[in-house]
Amino acid sequence: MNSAPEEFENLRKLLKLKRYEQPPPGYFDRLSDRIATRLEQEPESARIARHAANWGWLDALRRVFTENPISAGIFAACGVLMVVVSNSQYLDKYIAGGLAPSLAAAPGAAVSHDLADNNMHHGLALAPQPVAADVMVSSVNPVFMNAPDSLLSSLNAQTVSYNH
Amino acid sequence: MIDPASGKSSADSKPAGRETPSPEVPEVAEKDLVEGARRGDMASYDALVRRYQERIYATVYHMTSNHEDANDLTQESFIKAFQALKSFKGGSSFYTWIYRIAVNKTINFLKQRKNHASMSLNDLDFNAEHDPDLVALISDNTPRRDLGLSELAEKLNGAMQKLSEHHRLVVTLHDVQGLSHEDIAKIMDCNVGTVRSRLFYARQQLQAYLSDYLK
Repeated sequence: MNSAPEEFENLRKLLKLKRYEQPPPGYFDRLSDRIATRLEQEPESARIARHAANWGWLDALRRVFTENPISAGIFAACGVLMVVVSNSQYLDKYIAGGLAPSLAAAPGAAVSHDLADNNMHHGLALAPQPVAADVMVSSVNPVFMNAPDSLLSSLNAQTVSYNH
Repeated sequence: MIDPASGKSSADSKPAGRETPSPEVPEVAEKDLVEGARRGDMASYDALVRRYQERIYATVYHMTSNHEDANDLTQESFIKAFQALKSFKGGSSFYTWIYRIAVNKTINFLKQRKNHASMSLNDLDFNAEHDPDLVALISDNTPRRDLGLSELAEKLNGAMQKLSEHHRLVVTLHDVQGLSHEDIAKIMDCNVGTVRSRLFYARQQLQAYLSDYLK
């Protein structure tokens, strides 16, 4: 398949002519600017999608917020609004006094009974205490507050002091 | 700008008078630019565009023989490359990768416009008149003597357009742009043997089309 160099010598000379076909002067100075301009004019949605594809959604979100602080503010305001709305529902229930009984009868209670039964087979007594209706349940006053030492006592655990 | 001045006898693998700047660029610098562009740094990408725009434009132009089409396709190739930087794994050089994008875009474009091709040729650089090879060509006692260089360029482009896209591409990359068989094989995603056979066939075809001007 290799041809002798002289076989296509005249053709090679003629093909050199193509190298002299040049675009108008200054064309290449403008070309890169045009490309940069077109990339900058890329629609915002396409740019976000591309960033997301290149860097993942979290980084795309960070970039959007960095480039556009207004959208960051709107996003934050929406977040605050959602927190307020969700908390206001709990507040309403709490004020109506129906929160504690509803929680006591909630599926979580059944789970804790199952857990206690399961643990009994391993010699662990995690007997949940019934919650009195008048006991306020909250994140700082958990349901199992009335059975504090049952786990430690069954394991014969002792508290150790590190103060010498 | 490519300086096509010299040019001695052509060895087959790497043509002598390889005026195109070597595609080998400092790897670290290119990697840095690519990494910067991936992070969205437009200055890095602009540097990559400036580095390769002339070679990409020339390839597309010689494939289409149309400046406006080459202009559009070159821009689109660089834009597409920027948008697809994530898929660039660095297994090949950015140079080969951007070439592939441009070549694929151009071949798809040529297939679509097959029935309404039109040439819009660039002017010849005035240095062409001083090229000893070209001076020798038109001073010989042949029919081409009656033609000016511009007309000869038109005939040559017409003959190039008669080749299939893949054969035209091989001639463009090797005989016009001076790339090695190995680089062309990477760009065309085929083996070197295929490049050689395509080049041989394409030259034979061109020789036949231009026989009146090559005697």
